[in-house]
Amino acid sequence: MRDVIVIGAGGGGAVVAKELAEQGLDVLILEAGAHAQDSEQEWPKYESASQGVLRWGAPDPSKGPWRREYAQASTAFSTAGVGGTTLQYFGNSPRAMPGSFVGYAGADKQRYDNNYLFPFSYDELKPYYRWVEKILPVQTAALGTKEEVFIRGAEGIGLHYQQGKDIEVASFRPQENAILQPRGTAGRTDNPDWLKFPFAQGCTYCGHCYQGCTLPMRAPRNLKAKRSTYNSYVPMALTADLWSRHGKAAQVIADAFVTQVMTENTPAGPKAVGVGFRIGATGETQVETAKVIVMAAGAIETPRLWLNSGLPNDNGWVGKGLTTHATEVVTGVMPFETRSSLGPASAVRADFPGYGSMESFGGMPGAYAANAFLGSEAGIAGAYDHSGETDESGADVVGRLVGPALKETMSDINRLVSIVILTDDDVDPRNSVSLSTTQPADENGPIPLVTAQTGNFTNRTRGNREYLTRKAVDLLRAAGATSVIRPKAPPSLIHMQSSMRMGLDPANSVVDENGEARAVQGLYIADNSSLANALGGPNPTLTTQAIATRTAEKIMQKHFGGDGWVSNWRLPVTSIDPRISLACGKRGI
Amino acid sequence: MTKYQSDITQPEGDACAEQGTDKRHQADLSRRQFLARSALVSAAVAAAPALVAPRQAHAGILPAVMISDTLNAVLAFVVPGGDPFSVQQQLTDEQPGGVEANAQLPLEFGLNTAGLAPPPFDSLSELITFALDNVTGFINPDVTGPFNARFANLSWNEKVAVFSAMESGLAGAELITLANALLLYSGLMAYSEAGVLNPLTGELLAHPVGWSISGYGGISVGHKDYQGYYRGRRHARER
Repeated sequence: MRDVIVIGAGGGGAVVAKELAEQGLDVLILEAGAHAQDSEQEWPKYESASQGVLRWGAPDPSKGPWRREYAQASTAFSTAGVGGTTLQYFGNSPRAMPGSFVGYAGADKQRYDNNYLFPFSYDELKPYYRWVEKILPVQTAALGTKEEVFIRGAEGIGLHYQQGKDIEVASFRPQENAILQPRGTAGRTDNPDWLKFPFAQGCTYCGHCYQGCTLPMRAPRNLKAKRSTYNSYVPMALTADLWSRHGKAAQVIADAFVTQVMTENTPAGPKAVGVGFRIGATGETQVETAKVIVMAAGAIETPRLWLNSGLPNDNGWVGKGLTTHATEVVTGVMPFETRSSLGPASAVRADFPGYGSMESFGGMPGAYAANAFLGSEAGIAGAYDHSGETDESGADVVGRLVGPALKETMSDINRLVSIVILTDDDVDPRNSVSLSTTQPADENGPIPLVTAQTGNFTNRTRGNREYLTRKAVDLLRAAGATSVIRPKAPPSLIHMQSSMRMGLDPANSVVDENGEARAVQGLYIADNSSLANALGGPNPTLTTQAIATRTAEKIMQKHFGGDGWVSNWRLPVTSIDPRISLACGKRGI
Repeated sequence: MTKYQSDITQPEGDACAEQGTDKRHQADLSRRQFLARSALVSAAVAAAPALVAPRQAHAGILPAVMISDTLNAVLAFVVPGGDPFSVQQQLTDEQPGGVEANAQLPLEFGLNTAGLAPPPFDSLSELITFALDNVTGFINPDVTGPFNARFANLSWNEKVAVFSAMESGLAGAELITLANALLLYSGLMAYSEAGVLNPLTGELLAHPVGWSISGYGGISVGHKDYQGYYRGRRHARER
């Protein structure tokens, strides 16, 4: 029997695994996807090739992706593999808005989703934020050309420049990124011969964040620029015995899809005792037992696993209340070069407390065309609009671009600046993850059905989304845009939260304030699904990782007789510490 | 700014004119030339079972050529070029487009692996082909032309009408989702390197059309674009 089994080696699971491995517990991580042994060799930079490797699917790229059913025109962006979706994320690591927590007393308190607040205060979480920010580490982003354009626009509409970590007023700032900032030759040359580690350190401005981060070339795994958990927490977990006095190396089994959480009945109710999982390559099923089980499979797969395991759902909130940030995209065509296909995909942002956030994004042309111009709930710009709504964003073009308009707009990708809107959307019981009743099961069980409103938002969500869209249009104009395009896109499921939400009220929450499932003892959830709400709009990963750290403490205290370890007076070992590099080398990681 | 020329007079108020385009120039690329250019990529693709499987194992109700013609016609609609499908739709472009990007096969593969199609359809590509053909029957049921799919023989404006009908919701919410996904995937494949990437070697067979027409400089291990820190600040304050 293990001490702890962690289901999923992504943004949250890897954090719990590392923290508990560092405390000396016997930790097993089961990951459905692959564990890359050499990212430089295994992760291609071409868009289409990358999608065959980094995707929600089996390690064998000749097999198609795992299926999900969607009740609307949207697709979830999630990744299987050690590192999870942090393999492809942009590394943005802002803290949540303080107004999304209990105890907030700001003047704008009424603007937040007050029925579904986090069950502890923002100040309670801050030490955990600091802890994770030191480990990853999180650093202030350097600028590229497209960031300068965004900032010009932000200054032009009179936004305050935020210099602190905590969001207080409507403001802009360079991202707080989980990306090692450029040093040496990184960002200073195009010559690949001069962009090898150690001459280049940190972000080399390659423009391939979404294709995973394998740079700088020849850098040790834990010194690759983007701090996915593949580069940071997982190497630390796997070598915990080598750099931590009491640590015990965690074990990871990849290509291991957990299909069942097993429980036994006790007088106090069901208790988690183990998991059943399927090895993809062979079809073999195995069972492992543990004192504590941590579900960290993500906002779609954690509720799916819960439901497929037949675990209790007495209050009906398993899978319910999914928030998606109701994303929208706005693009400005500039009369000057923006270099949007270079550098980190998103290195600057603006936050509007009570409404949500926005951030710049760039990248390769295929995804750019698709995400910025081709998804629409309205229709083809200038031809038809079936949305039934009058657009008040002020954009010059509303709707999908196809044909000549698309070709003209995309004719120079490096004269575009795009902004993705991240709405503080309501916890809406209509949004959910359930099990499909129309599509057949796959080899891992009944597949999930994802239901997310794409037009029929709550009034608050709609109002916030439109407010932010208008601000983005104004910002791009102030930056110099000659044309601003708003496709009226159905929300992309890039951020998914709160489908297994924590909360104060047992009537509308699946986990308690310690991350433990209310209905199953010894079962914890430590991924985006356990977040209480949409965080006020900011990107969820850092908050998930801070809460996962706190949850690891709670597990240690409740089940293993240990003490907490996060404090303002201790410094954690950072993932870029030379001891970690040496440990990785010694273990062949 | 890219200029277009055409000898096709646009009716008043049509979508093409409203998108601010000029007349279109008729390309003289023959179908044979187009197929010859595709042969190189097709030969490489034929060696990759995963990509070819959806075609060779096709066991649905529609001919495979009807599916490929339909998807090429969608690519020409989204990203027109000088290919025969763009010529047929009476809207071409002097710059190559989605068909010349050889995006049809990766588009078909991408759609087919995105999910299951309900019987009697063998794949999502077949379902989409059926849906487009069905709606075409309401727009211009008697359309004729060189292709094996009615949709592929429509004009560009008529294709707009087909998508408008699909996205109107009158034929069900499923068609809205299909239309959106199809157009999104088409653009993704047309502008990426998918059509010229050898899946066995991971190397490009040719310079991707999508890169050329978007000004994208290609993949890289780094760029010279470091612009320093805003106001020189490298750290955020902590209260």
